[in-house]
Amino acid sequence: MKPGSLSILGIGQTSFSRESGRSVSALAVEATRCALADAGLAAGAVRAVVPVGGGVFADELVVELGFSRAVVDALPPPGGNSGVVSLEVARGILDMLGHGVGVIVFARNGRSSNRIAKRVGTLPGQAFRAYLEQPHGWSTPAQWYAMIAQRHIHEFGPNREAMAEVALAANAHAQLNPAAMNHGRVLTRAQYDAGRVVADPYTRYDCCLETDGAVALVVAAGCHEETDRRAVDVVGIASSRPESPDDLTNRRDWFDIGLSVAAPLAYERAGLGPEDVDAAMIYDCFTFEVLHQLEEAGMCPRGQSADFVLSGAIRLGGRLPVNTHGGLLAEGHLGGVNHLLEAVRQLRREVPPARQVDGVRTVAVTGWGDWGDGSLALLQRRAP
Amino acid sequence: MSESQWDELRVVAPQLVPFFERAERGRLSVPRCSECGVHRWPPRELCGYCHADRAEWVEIRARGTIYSWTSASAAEEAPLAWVIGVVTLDLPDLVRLVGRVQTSTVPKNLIGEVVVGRFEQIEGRLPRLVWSGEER
Repeated sequence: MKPGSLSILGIGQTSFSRESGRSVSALAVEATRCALADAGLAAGAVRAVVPVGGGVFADELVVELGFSRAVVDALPPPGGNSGVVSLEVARGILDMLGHGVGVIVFARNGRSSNRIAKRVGTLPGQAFRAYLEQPHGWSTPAQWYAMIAQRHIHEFGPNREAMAEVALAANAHAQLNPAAMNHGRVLTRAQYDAGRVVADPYTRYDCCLETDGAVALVVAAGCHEETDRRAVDVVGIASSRPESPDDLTNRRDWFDIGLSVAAPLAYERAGLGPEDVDAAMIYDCFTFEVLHQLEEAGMCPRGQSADFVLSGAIRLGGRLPVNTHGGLLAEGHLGGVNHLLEAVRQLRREVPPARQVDGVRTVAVTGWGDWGDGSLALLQRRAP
Repeated sequence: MSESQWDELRVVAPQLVPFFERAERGRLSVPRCSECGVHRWPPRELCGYCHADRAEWVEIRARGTIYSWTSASAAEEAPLAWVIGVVTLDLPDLVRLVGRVQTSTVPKNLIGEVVVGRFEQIEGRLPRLVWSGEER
């Protein structure tokens, strides 16, 4: 494997719930232990730790997991783009060290305590937020991103049907995923339509879940010598920010996001194109953002995501199944790191048959954060 | 405005002080780069176009077009949405400001509506920009 590449050797997770009843570090320890066991590796092999989401530090894992005191850790920025960015951070540390494996872990009591309203204060540009936006009541991601959706409706036409389809598809996929928070909680179109307005055009079921839980990955750099038939390779990855990353309002083109730059770069690095992607795990904080990211990742032309989605493309069995685990909308909000886990499971053929994408070879995973930071990772299974 | 709010503003966001000082007098003003002459927003240390470090605050007409909007209900059962707009000012340069949009009904679409702005002067708080439909 060439230097600078990265492979995923193990995955692990806790249950996902509204109230874990456990500390964030306990969740992180459990998910990490699972990932190490899945990789068949001992904690002593870990040389890099990348905590995602700001909930836990490497320091809090050393004693219980038995990591070396010399692990190198780095924290990606806050925001949902960091799930994918964590792969780049881990690769950087491992390339520098020249040996060892890395752990990426996301842990949060995001429903019982550390909810989104609490976390917006950790994002960039707080002076703009506090004095230019919040006094007018513009203070949550639902409200920020709702304005992007309104702009898209204005320029390309109504997309309520497509937004509903994104929500219903996620929920349908979650029915095939016993770990999903919405497993056994079927969402009907009537229920979707009855959802109260959160921030026009977003209604209740356009918005992702908030979740207590943790997920973890064990990763190795290109110089790692073990070969593992279950290993999944990151064959291309890139991340980027939009113009004016700390301010949505004075950005010229609101549809031009980090993913718009990151996607072509990731495809180029992988030697692939959007047509090679068999399934996509898209950061689905809100339904419209799935439509937006399908466009900017090149799955369909800009402005045509509604038609693409309404063709049935994003359902299992369709042209490009999206979020076969249910995503943030219906599995749980684990910072989008859960999207990496589902990509790995699909490529390893370790999901129930009804959820398995036939013949899947390449899975795309996106990140989305703050006011449009974005990333694309392309994953393939190593073994034929 | 209370002294402590001014104190906090001066420490946390000194670059915004001129905006609010002029807003207290009912005037809308934005920085204009001393080098390239472009009006810019929000206020930053350096011009985003030419990276010059000097700008003058100039008064501009509080009139523009709604670029986008959303609503925020005060409570789950609130019948009237609190509408927030991002308004593109009538300037040759890109300047957009956020403010509440005064509307008596829940809007279907506001994008493209021409609005004029004024500052609400509220006891104990920073002046607040409010947009409303232009009287014809």
